[in-house]
Amino acid sequence: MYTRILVPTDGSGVSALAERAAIDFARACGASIVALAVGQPYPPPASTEGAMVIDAALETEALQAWATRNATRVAGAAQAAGVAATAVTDIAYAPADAIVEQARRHGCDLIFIGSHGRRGLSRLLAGSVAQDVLAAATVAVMVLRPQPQQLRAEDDT
Amino acid sequence: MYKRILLPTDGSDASARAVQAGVDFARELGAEVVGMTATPPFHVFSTDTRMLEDTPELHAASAAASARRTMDPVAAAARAAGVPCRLEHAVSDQPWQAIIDCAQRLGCDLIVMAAHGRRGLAGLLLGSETQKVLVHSTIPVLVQR
Repeated sequence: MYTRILVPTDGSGVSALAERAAIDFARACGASIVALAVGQPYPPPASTEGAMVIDAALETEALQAWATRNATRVAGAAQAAGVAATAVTDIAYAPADAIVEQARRHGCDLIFIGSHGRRGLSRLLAGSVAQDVLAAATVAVMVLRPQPQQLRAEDDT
Repeated sequence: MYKRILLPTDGSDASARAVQAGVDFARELGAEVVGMTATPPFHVFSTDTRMLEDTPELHAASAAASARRTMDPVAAAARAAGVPCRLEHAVSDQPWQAIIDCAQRLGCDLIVMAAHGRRGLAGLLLGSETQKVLVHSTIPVLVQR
């Protein structure tokens, strides 16, 4: 039914849960996975007066390396579980838009995404990248919820 | 993988599409489905035209009939796909709460629902009930467009 699943990864614990669930899901459905890592640069300052200027080329290089590492890790884990997988990377200020665009580009029919529980007032809000993906997606989106132990861990930080 | 999938519906076209997707998915996984819908409880003061001249008893009867009509397509889709199905009618002003409670009470492990339902405003990218289910659910939610 779902044949190609986009799995975004940001290297976080929330993401790791979604990755594992996506791999199990893909295996159960006979689907393949597109593992996507989006590097998110700092927006450039409006004025450089008194601001620390980041070397853009160096930043892109570092982000690309980070993204490649994470996408490859997830694709590798999927393949080890017997699921066909591709690693894809992107660099974007708005990860949610990149996620939706890459899903379209790779013909994915489902996007898997984790969401944060957060603490206090922000517990009322779903994860913001998840929110943005849900708003923009043109395909089905599977939203994984944080586990209780994860919420407790976040409370302690 | 998922064994019991909750399919909330409000009778809208968007819901119907989500229900079909949920049923197809259940068939593939060998899972069973629970169709559910929520109708509001009787209120003495109400702008709901169905309630204005009602008594609580009349309202309950018509709400039950309305719920059956809303959920008949779910039962039909499940039957056609050979998927075991049960139907739940919740009486609640908060559909999102009814959905969460139903999922918990019946031990569902996945919710499949539409991005928005009947009240979907053109500018609203994600329906309010879907939003609230997403915030409060402890099980995965598959948001179907």
